[in-house]
Amino acid sequence: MKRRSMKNAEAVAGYLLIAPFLVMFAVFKLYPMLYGIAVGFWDRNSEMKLLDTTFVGFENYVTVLKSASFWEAFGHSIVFSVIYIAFLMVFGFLVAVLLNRKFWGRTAVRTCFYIPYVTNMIAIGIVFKYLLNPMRGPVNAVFRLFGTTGPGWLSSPAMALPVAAVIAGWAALAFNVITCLAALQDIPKDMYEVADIEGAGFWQKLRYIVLPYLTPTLFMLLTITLINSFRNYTAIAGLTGGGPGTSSKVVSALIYDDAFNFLAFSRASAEGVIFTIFIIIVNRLFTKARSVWEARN
Amino acid sequence: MGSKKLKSKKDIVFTLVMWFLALLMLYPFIMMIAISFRPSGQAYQPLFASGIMHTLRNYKQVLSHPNFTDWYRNTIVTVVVTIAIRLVITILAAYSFSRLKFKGKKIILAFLVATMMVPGETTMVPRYLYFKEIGILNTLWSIVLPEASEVFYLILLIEFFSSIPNDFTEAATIDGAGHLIILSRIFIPLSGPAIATTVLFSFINIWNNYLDPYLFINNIETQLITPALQFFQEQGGANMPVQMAGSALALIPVIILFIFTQKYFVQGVASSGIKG
Repeated sequence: MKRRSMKNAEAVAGYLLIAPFLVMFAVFKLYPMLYGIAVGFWDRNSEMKLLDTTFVGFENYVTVLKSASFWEAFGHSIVFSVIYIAFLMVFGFLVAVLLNRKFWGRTAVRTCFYIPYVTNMIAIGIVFKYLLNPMRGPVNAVFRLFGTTGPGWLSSPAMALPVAAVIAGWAALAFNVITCLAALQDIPKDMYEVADIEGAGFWQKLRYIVLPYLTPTLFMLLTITLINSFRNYTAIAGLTGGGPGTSSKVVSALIYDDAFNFLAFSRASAEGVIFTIFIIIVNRLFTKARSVWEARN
Repeated sequence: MGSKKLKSKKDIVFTLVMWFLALLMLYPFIMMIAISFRPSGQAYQPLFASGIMHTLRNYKQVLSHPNFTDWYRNTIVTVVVTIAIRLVITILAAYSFSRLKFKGKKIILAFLVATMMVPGETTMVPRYLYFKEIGILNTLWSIVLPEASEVFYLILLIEFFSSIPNDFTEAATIDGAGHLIILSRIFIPLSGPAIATTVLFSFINIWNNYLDPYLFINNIETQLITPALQFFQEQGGANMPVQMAGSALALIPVIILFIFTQKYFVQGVASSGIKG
Protein backbone atom coordinates (compact mmCIF):
# COMPACT_ATOMS: atom_id res chain seq x y z
CA MET A 1 0.00 0.00 0.00
CA LYS A 2 2.75 2.39 1.05
CA ARG A 3 4.90 1.44 -1.94
CA ARG A 4 2.01 2.10 -4.27
CA SER A 5 1.38 5.59 -2.91
CA MET A 6 5.08 6.37 -3.25
CA LYS A 7 4.93 5.26 -6.84
CA ASN A 8 1.91 7.48 -7.41
CA ALA A 9 3.66 10.42 -5.79
CA GLU A 10 6.60 9.90 -8.12
CA ALA A 11 4.33 9.85 -11.16
CA VAL A 12 2.54 13.00 -10.01
CA ALA A 13 5.88 14.77 -9.55
CA GLY A 14 6.96 13.46 -12.94
CA TYR A 15 3.97 14.96 -14.70
CA LEU A 16 4.17 18.23 -12.76
CA LEU A 17 7.80 18.75 -13.68
CA ILE A 18 7.33 18.16 -17.41
CA ALA A 19 4.13 20.24 -17.46
CA PRO A 20 5.69 23.70 -18.02
CA PHE A 21 7.75 22.44 -20.96
CA LEU A 22 4.87 20.47 -22.46
CA VAL A 23 2.40 23.33 -22.11
CA MET A 24 4.76 25.78 -23.82
CA PHE A 25 5.48 23.20 -26.50
CA ALA A 26 1.81 22.41 -27.09
CA VAL A 27 0.71 26.04 -27.23
CA PHE A 28 3.52 27.58 -29.28
CA LYS A 29 4.93 24.71 -31.34
CA LEU A 30 2.52 21.80 -31.70
CA TYR A 31 -0.70 23.76 -32.11
CA PRO A 32 0.64 25.89 -35.02
CA MET A 33 1.80 22.69 -36.77
CA LEU A 34 -1.70 21.19 -36.57
CA TYR A 35 -3.30 24.54 -37.33
CA GLY A 36 -1.41 24.54 -40.65
CA ILE A 37 -3.21 21.38 -41.74
CA ALA A 38 -6.54 23.04 -40.93
CA VAL A 39 -5.74 26.35 -42.64
CA GLY A 40 -5.12 24.31 -45.79
CA PHE A 41 -8.78 23.24 -45.73
CA TRP A 42 -10.07 26.83 -45.55
CA ASP A 43 -10.22 29.52 -48.20
CA ARG A 44 -7.95 32.16 -46.76
CA ASN A 45 -6.46 33.20 -50.05
CA SER A 46 -6.55 36.96 -49.81
CA GLU A 47 -6.02 39.58 -47.16
CA MET A 48 -9.76 40.12 -46.73
CA LYS A 49 -10.15 36.40 -46.11
CA LEU A 50 -7.34 36.19 -43.59
CA LEU A 51 -9.69 34.67 -41.00
CA ASP A 52 -12.23 33.26 -43.47
CA THR A 53 -14.05 30.16 -42.28
CA THR A 54 -15.32 28.77 -45.59
CA PHE A 55 -14.42 25.10 -45.66
CA VAL A 56 -13.16 24.12 -49.11
CA GLY A 57 -12.00 20.56 -48.45
CA PHE A 58 -8.98 19.42 -50.39
CA GLU A 59 -9.21 22.24 -52.95
CA ASN A 60 -5.98 23.96 -51.87
CA TYR A 61 -4.10 20.67 -51.63
CA VAL A 62 -5.23 19.69 -55.13
CA THR A 63 -4.33 23.13 -56.52
CA VAL A 64 -0.84 22.83 -55.08
CA LEU A 65 -0.28 19.30 -56.39
CA LYS A 66 -1.36 20.44 -59.86
CA SER A 67 0.67 23.66 -59.94
CA ALA A 68 3.86 23.82 -61.96
CA SER A 69 5.41 26.36 -59.59
CA PHE A 70 5.18 23.92 -56.68
CA TRP A 71 6.91 21.11 -58.56
CA GLU A 72 9.58 23.50 -59.83
CA ALA A 73 10.30 24.64 -56.27
CA PHE A 74 10.15 21.01 -55.12
CA GLY A 75 12.85 20.11 -57.64
CA HIS A 76 14.97 23.06 -56.49
CA SER A 77 14.66 21.93 -52.87
CA ILE A 78 15.84 18.43 -53.82
CA VAL A 79 18.83 19.83 -55.75
CA PHE A 80 19.69 22.12 -52.83
CA SER A 81 19.46 19.27 -50.31
CA VAL A 82 21.48 16.79 -52.40
CA ILE A 83 24.34 19.25 -52.96
CA TYR A 84 24.25 20.51 -49.36
CA ILE A 85 24.31 16.96 -47.95
CA ALA A 86 27.03 15.74 -50.34
CA PHE A 87 29.24 18.75 -49.59
CA LEU A 88 28.87 18.41 -45.82
CA MET A 89 29.32 14.64 -45.68
CA VAL A 90 32.46 14.65 -47.86
CA PHE A 91 34.18 17.78 -46.56
CA GLY A 92 33.05 17.34 -42.95
CA PHE A 93 34.82 13.98 -42.93
CA LEU A 94 37.93 15.06 -44.89
CA VAL A 95 38.51 18.24 -42.88
CA ALA A 96 38.11 16.26 -39.64
CA VAL A 97 40.75 13.74 -40.81
CA LEU A 98 43.12 16.63 -41.61
CA LEU A 99 42.46 18.45 -38.33
CA ASN A 100 43.00 15.23 -36.38
CA ARG A 101 46.67 15.13 -37.38
CA LYS A 102 49.12 16.93 -35.13
CA PHE A 103 50.64 20.15 -36.47
CA TRP A 104 51.82 23.52 -35.21
CA GLY A 105 48.90 25.79 -34.28
CA ARG A 106 46.21 23.12 -34.64
CA THR A 107 43.88 24.67 -32.04
CA ALA A 108 43.93 28.06 -33.76
CA VAL A 109 43.36 26.47 -37.18
CA ARG A 110 40.38 24.55 -35.77
CA THR A 111 38.93 27.81 -34.46
CA CYS A 112 39.21 29.32 -37.96
CA PHE A 113 37.25 26.38 -39.36
CA TYR A 114 34.51 26.76 -36.74
CA ILE A 115 33.90 30.52 -37.00
CA PRO A 116 31.58 30.45 -40.06
CA TYR A 117 29.23 28.17 -38.09
CA VAL A 118 28.49 30.82 -35.45
CA THR A 119 27.96 33.69 -37.90
CA ASN A 120 24.57 34.52 -39.37
CA MET A 121 23.67 33.68 -42.97
CA ILE A 122 22.57 37.23 -43.77
CA ALA A 123 26.03 38.67 -43.06
CA ILE A 124 27.58 35.72 -44.90
CA GLY A 125 25.23 36.45 -47.81
CA ILE A 126 26.29 40.10 -47.95
CA VAL A 127 29.98 39.14 -48.11
CA PHE A 128 29.56 36.34 -50.66
CA LYS A 129 27.43 38.53 -52.95
CA TYR A 130 30.37 40.93 -52.86
CA LEU A 131 33.07 38.27 -53.38
CA LEU A 132 31.16 36.59 -56.21
CA ASN A 133 30.07 39.77 -57.99
CA PRO A 134 30.54 38.70 -61.65
CA MET A 135 31.90 42.01 -62.93
CA ARG A 136 33.80 43.52 -60.03
CA GLY A 137 34.20 40.84 -57.35
CA PRO A 138 37.64 39.54 -56.28
CA VAL A 139 36.86 35.92 -57.24
CA ASN A 140 36.30 36.71 -60.89
CA ALA A 141 39.30 39.06 -60.81
CA VAL A 142 41.38 35.89 -60.39
CA PHE A 143 39.77 34.47 -63.55
CA ARG A 144 40.64 37.65 -65.44
CA LEU A 145 44.23 37.29 -64.26
CA PHE A 146 44.35 34.08 -66.30
CA GLY A 147 42.73 35.78 -69.28
CA THR A 148 39.29 34.16 -68.98
CA THR A 149 35.92 35.43 -67.83
CA GLY A 150 34.62 33.94 -64.60
CA PRO A 151 31.13 32.49 -64.30
CA GLY A 152 28.09 34.45 -63.13
CA TRP A 153 27.90 32.57 -59.77
CA LEU A 154 24.86 33.75 -57.84
CA SER A 155 23.52 35.80 -60.74
CA SER A 156 23.60 32.92 -63.22
CA PRO A 157 20.31 30.97 -63.47
CA ALA A 158 22.20 27.70 -63.92
CA MET A 159 24.63 28.22 -61.03
CA ALA A 160 22.76 30.21 -58.37
CA LEU A 161 21.12 27.20 -56.69
CA PRO A 162 24.17 24.91 -56.47
CA VAL A 163 26.43 27.80 -55.42
CA ALA A 164 23.97 28.79 -52.67
CA ALA A 165 23.84 25.16 -51.48
CA VAL A 166 27.66 24.98 -51.29
CA ILE A 167 27.90 28.28 -49.38
CA ALA A 168 25.21 27.08 -46.94
CA GLY A 169 27.22 23.86 -46.54
CA TRP A 170 30.42 25.84 -45.96
CA ALA A 171 28.65 27.81 -43.21
CA ALA A 172 27.45 24.61 -41.51
CA LEU A 173 30.71 22.67 -41.89
CA ALA A 174 31.86 22.95 -38.26
CA PHE A 175 29.07 20.74 -36.92
CA ASN A 176 30.08 17.82 -39.14
CA VAL A 177 33.80 18.41 -38.54
CA ILE A 178 33.48 18.51 -34.74
CA THR A 179 31.30 15.40 -34.69
CA CYS A 180 33.71 13.46 -36.92
CA LEU A 181 36.70 14.67 -34.87
CA ALA A 182 35.10 13.41 -31.66
CA ALA A 183 34.56 10.01 -33.28
CA LEU A 184 38.11 9.94 -34.70
CA GLN A 185 39.53 10.53 -31.23
CA ASP A 186 37.66 7.46 -30.00
CA ILE A 187 39.56 5.16 -32.36
CA PRO A 188 42.02 3.15 -30.20
CA LYS A 189 45.62 4.22 -30.80
CA ASP A 190 46.88 0.61 -31.13
CA MET A 191 44.75 0.19 -34.27
CA TYR A 192 47.06 2.67 -36.00
CA GLU A 193 50.14 1.02 -34.51
CA VAL A 194 49.13 -2.36 -35.90
CA ALA A 195 48.52 -0.72 -39.27
CA ASP A 196 51.96 0.93 -39.14
CA ILE A 197 53.62 -2.41 -38.41
CA GLU A 198 51.74 -3.97 -41.32
CA GLY A 199 52.99 -1.11 -43.48
CA ALA A 200 49.60 0.35 -44.36
CA GLY A 201 49.63 3.70 -46.14
CA PHE A 202 47.45 6.75 -45.42
CA TRP A 203 44.65 5.74 -47.78
CA GLN A 204 44.62 2.14 -46.57
CA LYS A 205 44.29 3.32 -42.98
CA LEU A 206 41.46 5.58 -44.04
CA ARG A 207 39.68 2.77 -45.84
CA TYR A 208 40.19 -0.11 -43.39
CA ILE A 209 40.36 1.59 -39.97
CA VAL A 210 38.86 5.06 -40.02
CA LEU A 211 35.82 4.52 -42.25
CA PRO A 212 34.51 1.37 -40.53
CA TYR A 213 34.93 3.02 -37.13
CA LEU A 214 33.14 6.17 -38.25
CA THR A 215 30.24 4.53 -40.08
CA PRO A 216 27.74 4.87 -37.18
CA THR A 217 28.73 8.51 -36.71
CA LEU A 218 28.42 9.21 -40.43
CA PHE A 219 24.95 7.65 -40.52
CA MET A 220 23.88 9.79 -37.58
CA LEU A 221 25.37 12.89 -39.25
CA LEU A 222 23.55 12.04 -42.46
CA THR A 223 20.24 11.99 -40.56
CA ILE A 224 20.91 15.39 -38.98
CA THR A 225 22.24 16.91 -42.22
CA LEU A 226 19.21 15.63 -44.11
CA ILE A 227 16.84 17.32 -41.65
CA ASN A 228 18.88 20.54 -41.66
CA SER A 229 19.01 20.65 -45.47
CA PHE A 230 15.31 21.60 -45.49
CA ARG A 231 15.95 24.55 -43.17
CA ASN A 232 17.16 26.57 -46.13
CA TYR A 233 15.05 29.74 -46.20
CA THR A 234 17.67 32.04 -44.66
CA ALA A 235 20.45 30.82 -46.97
CA ILE A 236 18.33 31.37 -50.08
CA ALA A 237 16.99 34.72 -48.84
CA GLY A 238 20.47 35.92 -47.96
CA LEU A 239 22.23 34.71 -51.10
CA THR A 240 19.88 34.73 -54.09
CA GLY A 241 16.41 35.81 -52.96
CA GLY A 242 15.19 32.82 -55.02
CA GLY A 243 16.52 34.28 -58.26
CA PRO A 244 17.58 35.03 -60.87
CA GLY A 245 13.97 34.67 -61.96
CA THR A 246 12.78 31.60 -60.07
CA SER A 247 15.95 29.60 -60.72
CA SER A 248 16.79 29.09 -57.04
CA LYS A 249 13.29 29.35 -55.56
CA VAL A 250 13.05 26.43 -53.12
CA VAL A 251 9.79 25.32 -51.43
CA SER A 252 10.39 27.50 -48.35
CA ALA A 253 10.81 30.56 -50.59
CA LEU A 254 7.67 29.60 -52.53
CA ILE A 255 5.68 29.28 -49.28
CA TYR A 256 6.90 32.70 -48.17
CA ASP A 257 6.10 34.29 -51.52
CA ASP A 258 2.64 32.75 -51.85
CA ALA A 259 1.69 33.73 -48.31
CA PHE A 260 3.22 37.14 -47.83
CA ASN A 261 3.44 38.55 -51.36
CA PHE A 262 0.36 36.96 -52.96
CA LEU A 263 -1.58 36.58 -49.66
CA ALA A 264 -2.64 33.04 -50.57
CA PHE A 265 -2.31 31.85 -46.96
CA SER A 266 -4.29 28.64 -47.34
CA ARG A 267 -2.46 27.55 -50.47
CA ALA A 268 0.88 28.33 -48.81
CA SER A 269 -0.21 26.32 -45.74
CA ALA A 270 -1.10 23.40 -47.99
CA GLU A 271 2.34 23.64 -49.62
CA GLY A 272 3.91 23.48 -46.16
CA VAL A 273 1.85 20.44 -45.15
CA ILE A 274 2.61 18.57 -48.36
CA PHE A 275 6.32 19.28 -48.08
CA THR A 276 6.33 18.27 -44.40
CA ILE A 277 4.74 14.93 -45.35
CA PHE A 278 7.47 14.51 -47.97
CA ILE A 279 10.17 15.23 -45.36
CA ILE A 280 8.66 12.69 -42.95
CA ILE A 281 8.51 10.03 -45.69
CA VAL A 282 12.14 10.66 -46.70
CA ASN A 283 13.20 10.36 -43.06
CA ARG A 284 11.25 7.13 -42.58
CA LEU A 285 12.76 5.64 -45.73
CA PHE A 286 16.22 6.67 -44.64
CA THR A 287 15.76 5.15 -41.18
CA LYS A 288 14.52 1.92 -42.81
CA ALA A 289 17.47 1.81 -45.20
CA ARG A 290 19.83 2.44 -42.31
CA SER A 291 18.44 -0.39 -40.18
CA VAL A 292 18.51 -2.79 -43.15
CA TRP A 293 22.14 -1.83 -43.82
CA GLU A 294 23.07 -2.21 -40.15
CA ALA A 295 21.40 -5.63 -39.95
CA ARG A 296 23.42 -6.77 -42.93
CA ASN A 297 26.79 -5.66 -41.52
CA MET B 1 68.04 10.03 -40.02
CA GLY B 2 67.12 10.56 -43.63
CA SER B 3 63.54 9.40 -43.21
CA LYS B 4 63.08 11.55 -40.15
CA LYS B 5 64.18 14.62 -42.06
CA LEU B 6 61.82 13.71 -44.88
CA LYS B 7 59.01 13.34 -42.39
CA SER B 8 59.60 16.73 -40.83
CA LYS B 9 59.69 18.30 -44.31
CA LYS B 10 56.33 16.67 -45.01
CA ASP B 11 55.04 17.97 -41.69
CA ILE B 12 56.06 21.53 -42.55
CA VAL B 13 54.25 21.31 -45.88
CA PHE B 14 51.17 19.89 -44.15
CA THR B 15 51.24 22.66 -41.54
CA LEU B 16 51.52 25.33 -44.24
CA VAL B 17 48.62 23.81 -46.20
CA MET B 18 46.43 23.73 -43.09
CA TRP B 19 47.22 27.37 -42.30
CA PHE B 20 46.45 28.31 -45.87
CA LEU B 21 43.07 26.53 -45.63
CA ALA B 22 42.37 28.29 -42.33
CA LEU B 23 43.04 31.66 -43.99
CA LEU B 24 40.74 30.64 -46.83
CA MET B 25 37.96 29.91 -44.30
CA LEU B 26 38.52 33.35 -42.77
CA TYR B 27 38.90 35.15 -46.12
CA PRO B 28 35.23 36.28 -46.31
CA PHE B 29 35.49 37.75 -42.80
CA ILE B 30 38.85 39.40 -43.55
CA MET B 31 37.26 41.02 -46.61
CA MET B 32 34.24 42.08 -44.55
CA ILE B 33 36.45 43.93 -42.06
CA ALA B 34 38.74 45.38 -44.76
CA ILE B 35 35.89 46.72 -46.92
CA SER B 36 34.04 48.09 -43.90
CA PHE B 37 36.81 50.68 -43.43
CA ARG B 38 36.84 51.85 -47.07
CA PRO B 39 35.05 54.72 -48.77
CA SER B 40 32.31 53.37 -51.05
CA GLY B 41 34.20 54.37 -54.19
CA GLN B 42 37.00 51.92 -53.36
CA ALA B 43 34.80 48.97 -52.32
CA TYR B 44 35.88 46.76 -55.22
CA GLN B 45 39.61 47.59 -55.21
CA PRO B 46 41.86 44.57 -54.46
CA LEU B 47 42.70 43.80 -50.82
CA PHE B 48 46.26 45.13 -51.02
CA ALA B 49 45.74 47.78 -53.73
CA SER B 50 47.77 50.96 -53.36
CA GLY B 51 46.11 54.24 -52.53
CA ILE B 52 43.33 52.72 -50.39
CA MET B 53 41.88 55.25 -47.96
CA HIS B 54 40.61 54.21 -44.54
CA THR B 55 37.60 55.74 -42.90
CA LEU B 56 35.31 55.23 -39.92
CA ARG B 57 32.44 56.84 -41.82
CA ASN B 58 30.65 53.51 -42.49
CA TYR B 59 30.62 52.58 -38.81
CA LYS B 60 29.43 56.08 -37.93
CA GLN B 61 26.62 55.72 -40.46
CA VAL B 62 25.54 52.36 -39.02
CA LEU B 63 25.74 53.50 -35.41
CA SER B 64 23.85 56.70 -36.18
CA HIS B 65 20.91 54.81 -37.69
CA PRO B 66 17.99 55.90 -35.49
CA ASN B 67 17.07 52.28 -34.66
CA PHE B 68 20.49 50.64 -34.34
CA THR B 69 20.54 50.71 -30.53
CA ASP B 70 16.93 49.42 -30.52
CA TRP B 71 17.93 46.38 -32.58
CA TYR B 72 20.87 45.63 -30.33
CA ARG B 73 18.85 46.06 -27.15
CA ASN B 74 15.94 43.98 -28.53
CA THR B 75 18.33 41.19 -29.45
CA ILE B 76 19.98 41.15 -26.03
CA VAL B 77 16.60 41.24 -24.23
CA THR B 78 15.26 38.40 -26.42
CA VAL B 79 18.37 36.29 -25.89
CA VAL B 80 18.40 36.77 -22.10
CA VAL B 81 14.66 36.25 -21.51
CA THR B 82 14.49 33.22 -23.81
CA ILE B 83 17.48 31.57 -22.18
CA ALA B 84 16.04 32.18 -18.70
CA ILE B 85 12.65 30.61 -19.51
CA ARG B 86 14.23 27.86 -21.58
CA LEU B 87 16.62 26.86 -18.77
CA VAL B 88 13.91 26.68 -16.11
CA ILE B 89 11.35 24.63 -18.03
CA THR B 90 13.94 22.43 -19.74
CA ILE B 91 15.86 21.59 -16.55
CA LEU B 92 12.62 20.63 -14.76
CA ALA B 93 11.48 18.46 -17.65
CA ALA B 94 14.91 16.88 -18.17
CA TYR B 95 15.08 15.91 -14.48
CA SER B 96 11.66 14.32 -14.69
CA PHE B 97 12.41 12.43 -17.91
CA SER B 98 15.79 11.15 -16.69
CA ARG B 99 14.97 10.27 -13.05
CA LEU B 100 11.25 9.75 -12.43
CA LYS B 101 8.97 6.90 -13.47
CA PHE B 102 5.57 7.74 -14.93
CA LYS B 103 3.26 6.34 -17.56
CA GLY B 104 3.66 7.51 -21.15
CA LYS B 105 7.17 8.87 -20.60
CA LYS B 106 8.70 7.06 -23.56
CA ILE B 107 5.85 7.92 -25.93
CA ILE B 108 5.91 11.61 -25.01
CA LEU B 109 9.67 11.78 -25.51
CA ALA B 110 9.56 9.89 -28.81
CA PHE B 111 6.84 12.23 -30.04
CA LEU B 112 8.83 15.33 -29.05
CA VAL B 113 11.91 13.99 -30.86
CA ALA B 114 9.84 13.22 -33.96
CA THR B 115 8.66 16.85 -34.17
CA MET B 116 12.29 17.94 -34.57
CA MET B 117 11.98 16.71 -38.16
CA VAL B 118 9.52 19.46 -39.06
CA PRO B 119 11.41 22.60 -40.15
CA GLY B 120 10.11 26.03 -39.14
CA GLU B 121 10.07 26.77 -42.86
CA THR B 122 7.04 24.60 -43.60
CA THR B 123 4.98 25.94 -40.69
CA MET B 124 5.69 29.63 -41.19
CA VAL B 125 2.20 30.48 -42.43
CA PRO B 126 0.13 28.89 -39.62
CA ARG B 127 2.58 30.28 -37.08
CA TYR B 128 2.14 33.76 -38.53
CA LEU B 129 -1.68 33.51 -38.61
CA TYR B 130 -1.87 32.04 -35.10
CA PHE B 131 0.50 34.59 -33.55
CA LYS B 132 -1.55 37.32 -35.22
CA GLU B 133 -4.74 35.91 -33.69
CA ILE B 134 -3.32 35.69 -30.16
CA GLY B 135 -1.85 39.18 -30.52
CA ILE B 136 1.88 38.57 -30.10
CA LEU B 137 2.83 39.65 -33.62
CA ASN B 138 5.24 42.61 -33.67
CA THR B 139 6.32 41.95 -30.08
CA LEU B 140 9.43 40.17 -28.84
CA TRP B 141 7.12 37.52 -27.31
CA SER B 142 6.61 36.15 -30.82
CA ILE B 143 10.28 35.07 -30.67
CA VAL B 144 10.64 34.30 -26.95
CA LEU B 145 7.58 32.09 -26.32
CA PRO B 146 8.01 29.65 -29.25
CA GLU B 147 11.77 29.43 -28.62
CA ALA B 148 11.31 28.54 -24.94
CA SER B 149 10.56 24.84 -25.50
CA GLU B 150 13.25 23.45 -27.80
CA VAL B 151 13.45 19.65 -27.84
CA PHE B 152 17.15 19.75 -28.79
CA TYR B 153 18.12 21.21 -25.38
CA LEU B 154 15.77 18.84 -23.57
CA ILE B 155 17.61 15.88 -25.12
CA LEU B 156 20.98 17.45 -24.34
CA LEU B 157 20.10 17.85 -20.65
CA ILE B 158 18.42 14.43 -20.39
CA GLU B 159 21.61 12.83 -21.72
CA PHE B 160 23.66 14.71 -19.16
CA PHE B 161 21.34 14.08 -16.19
CA SER B 162 21.21 10.38 -17.05
CA SER B 163 24.99 10.22 -16.70
CA ILE B 164 24.84 11.37 -13.06
CA PRO B 165 25.20 8.22 -10.89
CA ASN B 166 22.19 7.14 -8.84
CA ASP B 167 24.28 7.01 -5.65
CA PHE B 168 24.36 10.79 -5.61
CA THR B 169 20.60 11.04 -5.31
CA GLU B 170 19.79 7.94 -3.25
CA ALA B 171 21.21 9.36 -0.04
CA ALA B 172 19.21 12.53 -0.49
CA THR B 173 16.04 10.58 -1.27
CA ILE B 174 16.40 8.55 1.94
CA ASP B 175 16.79 11.80 3.84
CA GLY B 176 13.41 12.69 2.42
CA ALA B 177 14.54 15.57 0.27
CA GLY B 178 12.01 16.69 -2.33
CA HIS B 179 12.68 16.65 -6.04
CA LEU B 180 13.25 20.38 -6.25
CA ILE B 181 15.86 20.19 -3.50
CA ILE B 182 17.62 17.23 -5.17
CA LEU B 183 17.51 19.14 -8.42
CA SER B 184 18.89 22.40 -7.06
CA ARG B 185 21.42 20.95 -4.59
CA ILE B 186 22.74 18.00 -6.61
CA PHE B 187 21.84 18.10 -10.30
CA ILE B 188 22.32 21.74 -11.14
CA PRO B 189 25.73 22.09 -9.41
CA LEU B 190 26.94 18.95 -11.23
CA SER B 191 25.63 20.09 -14.61
CA GLY B 192 27.81 23.14 -15.15
CA PRO B 193 29.15 22.02 -18.55
CA ALA B 194 25.72 20.98 -19.90
CA ILE B 195 24.10 24.21 -18.75
CA ALA B 196 26.99 26.24 -20.19
CA THR B 197 26.53 24.45 -23.52
CA THR B 198 22.80 25.16 -23.45
CA VAL B 199 23.36 28.86 -22.75
CA LEU B 200 26.05 29.15 -25.43
CA PHE B 201 24.10 27.35 -28.17
CA SER B 202 20.95 29.28 -27.29
CA PHE B 203 22.80 32.58 -27.45
CA ILE B 204 24.29 31.83 -30.87
CA ASN B 205 21.07 30.44 -32.37
CA ILE B 206 18.76 33.17 -31.12
CA TRP B 207 21.22 35.92 -32.04
CA ASN B 208 21.55 34.55 -35.57
CA ASN B 209 17.85 33.73 -36.04
CA TYR B 210 16.54 35.37 -39.18
CA LEU B 211 13.33 33.70 -40.34
CA ASP B 212 11.20 34.12 -37.20
CA PRO B 213 11.86 37.81 -36.48
CA TYR B 214 11.67 38.54 -40.20
CA LEU B 215 8.21 36.93 -40.31
CA PHE B 216 6.73 38.06 -37.01
CA ILE B 217 8.15 41.55 -36.50
CA ASN B 218 7.16 44.19 -38.98
CA ASN B 219 7.93 47.47 -37.27
CA ILE B 220 11.47 48.71 -37.57
CA GLU B 221 11.99 49.67 -33.92
CA THR B 222 11.04 46.19 -32.59
CA GLN B 223 13.31 44.31 -35.03
CA LEU B 224 16.34 42.19 -34.03
CA ILE B 225 19.86 42.75 -35.32
CA THR B 226 20.19 39.88 -37.82
CA PRO B 227 17.06 40.62 -39.91
CA ALA B 228 17.73 44.35 -39.44
CA LEU B 229 20.84 44.03 -41.62
CA GLN B 230 18.43 44.20 -44.56
CA PHE B 231 17.71 47.86 -43.73
CA PHE B 232 21.27 48.77 -44.68
CA GLN B 233 20.84 46.96 -47.97
CA GLU B 234 17.78 49.05 -48.76
CA GLN B 235 19.01 52.26 -47.27
CA GLY B 236 22.52 52.16 -48.72
CA GLY B 237 21.55 50.61 -52.05
CA ALA B 238 24.88 49.56 -53.50
CA ASN B 239 26.78 50.93 -50.54
CA MET B 240 28.86 47.82 -49.81
CA PRO B 241 31.11 49.25 -47.08
CA VAL B 242 28.10 50.27 -44.94
CA GLN B 243 26.59 46.78 -45.28
CA MET B 244 29.94 45.26 -44.31
CA ALA B 245 30.21 47.53 -41.26
CA GLY B 246 26.68 46.57 -40.18
CA SER B 247 27.45 42.87 -40.66
CA ALA B 248 30.68 43.16 -38.69
CA LEU B 249 28.86 44.83 -35.78
CA ALA B 250 26.23 42.08 -35.84
CA LEU B 251 28.85 39.31 -35.81
CA ILE B 252 31.33 40.67 -33.25
CA PRO B 253 29.48 39.68 -30.02
CA VAL B 254 28.89 36.11 -31.22
CA ILE B 255 32.44 35.59 -32.49
CA ILE B 256 33.99 36.98 -29.29
CA LEU B 257 31.71 34.81 -27.15
CA PHE B 258 32.57 31.80 -29.29
CA ILE B 259 36.33 32.27 -29.08
CA PHE B 260 36.22 32.37 -25.28
CA THR B 261 33.84 29.44 -24.87
CA GLN B 262 34.97 27.17 -27.69
CA LYS B 263 35.53 24.29 -25.26
CA TYR B 264 31.84 24.12 -24.31
CA PHE B 265 30.81 24.59 -27.90
CA VAL B 266 32.90 21.62 -29.05
CA GLN B 267 31.71 19.49 -26.12
CA GLY B 268 28.12 20.36 -26.92
CA VAL B 269 28.33 19.47 -30.60
CA ALA B 270 30.26 16.29 -29.85
CA SER B 271 27.85 15.08 -27.19
CA SER B 272 24.70 15.99 -29.13
CA GLY B 273 26.24 14.33 -32.16
CA ILE B 274 27.67 11.06 -30.92
CA LYS B 275 24.61 9.97 -28.97
CA GLY B 276 22.41 11.12 -31.81
